[in-house]
Amino acid sequence: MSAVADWAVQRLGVFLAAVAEPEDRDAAARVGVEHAAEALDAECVAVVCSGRVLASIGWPRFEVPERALARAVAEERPVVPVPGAGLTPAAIAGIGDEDCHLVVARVGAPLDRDELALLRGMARGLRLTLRLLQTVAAERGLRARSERQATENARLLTSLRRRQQVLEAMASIQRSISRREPLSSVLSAVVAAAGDLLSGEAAALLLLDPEEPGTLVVADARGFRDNARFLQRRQRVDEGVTGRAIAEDRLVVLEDYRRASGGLSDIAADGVTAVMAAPVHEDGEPVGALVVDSYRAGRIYTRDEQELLASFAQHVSLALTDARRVDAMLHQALHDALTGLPNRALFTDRLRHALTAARRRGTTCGVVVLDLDRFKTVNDSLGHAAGDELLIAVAQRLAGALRAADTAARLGGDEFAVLLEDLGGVEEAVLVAERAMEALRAPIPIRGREVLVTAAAGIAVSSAGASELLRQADVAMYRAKARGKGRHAVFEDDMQAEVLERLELESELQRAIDDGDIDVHYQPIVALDGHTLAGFEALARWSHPTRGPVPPPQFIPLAEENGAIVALGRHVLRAACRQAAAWLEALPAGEPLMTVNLSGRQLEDAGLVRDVADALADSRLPASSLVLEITETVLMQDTEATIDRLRELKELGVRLAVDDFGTGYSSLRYLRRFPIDILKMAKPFVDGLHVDDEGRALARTIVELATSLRLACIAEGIEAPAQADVLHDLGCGLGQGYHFARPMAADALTQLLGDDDERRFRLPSTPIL
Amino acid sequence: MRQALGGRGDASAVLLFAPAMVDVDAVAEGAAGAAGDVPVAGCSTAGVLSPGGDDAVLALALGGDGLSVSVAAAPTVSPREGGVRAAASLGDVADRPHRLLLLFADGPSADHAEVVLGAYSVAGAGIPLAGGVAGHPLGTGRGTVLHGASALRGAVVGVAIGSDAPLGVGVAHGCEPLGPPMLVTAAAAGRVLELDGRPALEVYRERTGLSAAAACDETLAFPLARHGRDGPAHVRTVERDGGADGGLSCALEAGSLVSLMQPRAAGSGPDVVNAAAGAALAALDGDAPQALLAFDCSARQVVRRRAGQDPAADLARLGELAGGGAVAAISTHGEIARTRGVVGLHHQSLVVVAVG
Repeated sequence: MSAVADWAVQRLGVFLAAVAEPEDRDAAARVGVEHAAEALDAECVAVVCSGRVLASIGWPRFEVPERALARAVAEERPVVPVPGAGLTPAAIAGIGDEDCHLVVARVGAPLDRDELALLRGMARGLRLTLRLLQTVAAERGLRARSERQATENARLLTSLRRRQQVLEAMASIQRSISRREPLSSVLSAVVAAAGDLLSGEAAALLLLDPEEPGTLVVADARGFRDNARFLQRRQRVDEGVTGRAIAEDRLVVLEDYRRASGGLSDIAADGVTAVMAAPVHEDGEPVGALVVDSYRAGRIYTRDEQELLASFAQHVSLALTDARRVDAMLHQALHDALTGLPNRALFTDRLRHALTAARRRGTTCGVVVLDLDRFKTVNDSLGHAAGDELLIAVAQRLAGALRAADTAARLGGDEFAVLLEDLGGVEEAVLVAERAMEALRAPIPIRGREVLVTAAAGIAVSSAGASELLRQADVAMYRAKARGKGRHAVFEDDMQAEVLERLELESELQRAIDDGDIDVHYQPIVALDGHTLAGFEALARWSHPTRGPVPPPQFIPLAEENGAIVALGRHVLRAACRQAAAWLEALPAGEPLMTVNLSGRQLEDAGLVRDVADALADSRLPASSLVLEITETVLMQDTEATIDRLRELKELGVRLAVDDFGTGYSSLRYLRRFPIDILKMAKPFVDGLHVDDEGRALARTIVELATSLRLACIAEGIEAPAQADVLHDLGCGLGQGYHFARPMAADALTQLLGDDDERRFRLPSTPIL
Repeated sequence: MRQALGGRGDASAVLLFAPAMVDVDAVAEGAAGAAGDVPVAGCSTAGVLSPGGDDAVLALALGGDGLSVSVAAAPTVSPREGGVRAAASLGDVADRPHRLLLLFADGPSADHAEVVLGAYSVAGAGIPLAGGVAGHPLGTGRGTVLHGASALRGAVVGVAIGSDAPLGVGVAHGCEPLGPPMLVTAAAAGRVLELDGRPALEVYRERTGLSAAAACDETLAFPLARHGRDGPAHVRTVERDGGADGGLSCALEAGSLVSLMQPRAAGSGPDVVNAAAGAALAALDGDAPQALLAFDCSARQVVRRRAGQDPAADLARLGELAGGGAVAAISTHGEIARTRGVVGLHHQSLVVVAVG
């Protein structure tokens, strides 16, 4: 009977093994009751804990007598209801120190001693198991919590990683923008990042077509089913989700795209299920939209995703605005701010490209350099603002006169240039230059006045390098300028030498002035009544140590151009004053006049009045003996500054003469306006006296004008006795010219005046003027 | 079927049993067609004992006043769950004071105890479980359960009977212990690996004296029986197999106290019928049954024939006990009868259901 004796032990072992298998308390309890029921051949078994049935067998599933079982565990002779058998004595074993019990009811035969022992053994085993499982459950709970935590951590990590990806993408885009990478690649990067970070959706950037307002073109796109076709897409700015985003200037989301209204049929046909678009701006103005399209069914865009797209759109806006700013800066760097024309740098660059293209095409290029003849005068007399207006007007006229293919530029100051491409020959370039000069010829209204502008044009046509071509045109321009106002010249090889020569002369002149090597010669001014000496005109003479005498028309304009005229004029003035004082002392009765030329530049010089006063004071020459000659064109500037300066000079007591009267506009207005004392009739009128009646009439008009204005009149350039006679007959009081005497050095003239036999002039007994 | 229904319109269900060697699918389909709206449930058999003989198809109509029947079927992917779902049909007859659940199952023998336990967990101790495992002649394929127009494999069918009159179940086997009880000290699904700590096959041969080459019907004569409170109660067939693991093909759990059994020498036939039917009829408080339904193990019959006994005598006795009531007896491969305790699976036993 060893098997029977061992049965309880064996059975307990099987029981323990069975209840240890489940992973949770309820399952272990269920296995426990089933095994106990089988082992004890009992109909009903239950595990009751704190009044609740943890597991049971033998009672129909929903008819477990929980209260009766709970009561039974506390009873001394417990009975429990068994289905089909009624109240049945139950054997109960406590499960450990908890309020848990194993309840067994067997119909017909109570458990024997061995079976009760087994029951207690099972109860103990169950206790251990349930406790263990409770611990395990607690641990599992902890683990579950920790797994939940881990899941949450993983979610956070994913979120952080995604955020990191977003930040990295944003940073990369920002870097691209700040590095000024090409706009197209920046925009591509944004579109790619938007697609990637919004769950790999299709993404595109649509921008207004600058060529065709009201139309959107695709700047970049990726992820569309037929991406190549999408890239060619054009759509009206007022249609679809994109259109709404731009029109309403806000992010627009359209989910359930196929069914919702407001979508585009071709997009829906492509299988797109949802679309989200955010407007992009350039300088604050909506110029397009960044769009993501989804092909996933039921796609909903979360708030985060919407914000992400808006953020990408902001980056696009940043890139567009920055690129526009860069363009503006580039434009600014390469264009003249005042006229908007290309500047020298851009002009040179375009010239370089044009030359390369011309070489390839077998054509030639030309450059016309235009220099305004009297710009400085305008600028200085009317003010810089007027000067600026003039430059703008010139630029406009210039641009209007050119062919579409020609490029006008402002090289600086009053110098303009025109690039002529694909020229047939030099003649064509000359035609363009003439047309440009013609366009400038009509008076330009500036601040209520009409300003006349002429320009010197230098033309060069060759296949030389850009700098060389520009330089050649420059040389030609100087040559043209040397020929007079409003002239043009085509560059020829020998001009090069001429220009060099001119440059050399300029520097030698400066040295001569600085060293006091400019001589002052004097030409007598004679009363036409009978050759009585009336005064002298002081004239600068430059006797070059190697070149010999340099004619004034060669060096005076040079001095005017480079500003040396101020120093030169001062030198002449002081010398003339000294000499006049000496002659006055020698010839006191006639009080001969000393006339000295004032250039426009000198008149603009703030130190002029002081210079004149100093010269008079230093020489002790009475101011009334000094006549300052001013050209007609200088007076025409008619600025308050000029008037003020002339008045100050008059206040010194000096007299003023208008030189070369009749060559300018001969306006009566300035004759009245300025404190003029003397008119000097220009040589052409004197030359024309014996040509015809008209010439004489012109001379007469000038004389009569002077008379009517009570001005003295000096005729210049009298070369023949007849001229002197006619002028005298016309009523002109004074004259000068080779007929009477050439300009000569002071010593020579003094000698001439002192030699009675040789005296050709009668000295006046009283002042003539 | 027509015979069973007899033109009556008050049948609640028809129990259908067909020998496994016939086309059970066709039988099921035909029967369902004949039954119309009346549910059909049952299983294949190793043979119909009564009435009609081995080749007959047996149909038993249940119904009439005071009797409700509900049928449920479930796959036995999980035998426990299959039992639970088959027992769900009990809910439909809950208004009757007497209830009984018939279970028909197929599949591996290791599953059957679980099916019964599953059904018990729903039914509880108050409702007797009875039925059988689908039969088939030994060594020929496998059985099927029948439900509606389908012959199902790997399924369990529950037929809940609710009656105003008592219902009884009895079970008996005609075996006696051979030698002292043993402990199943190691077991696996459907296999007893050790007995008293020794290889089960070795112990078995030792005890039975059978050789390794023993024929199938020789092992059938020496089943094992699991002990209940009153001794060996649940017989389990030992099937011949190679025993490569040193074990026996026998559905017993570790920890079970078992006895090696052998057929009782004399009177086992009528005694078994008397015992089983007597127990079933006892529930009827002396009233004559309207029907007696018997599930007799095909292995028991093989053993009895081999011993020169005539199963026909059993049927005659069953007829006597039924009085005027109907008798339907089929041959099964496992019998279900839970009347006490929780274990309800038997082998080589006769289960009798008495319908009052």
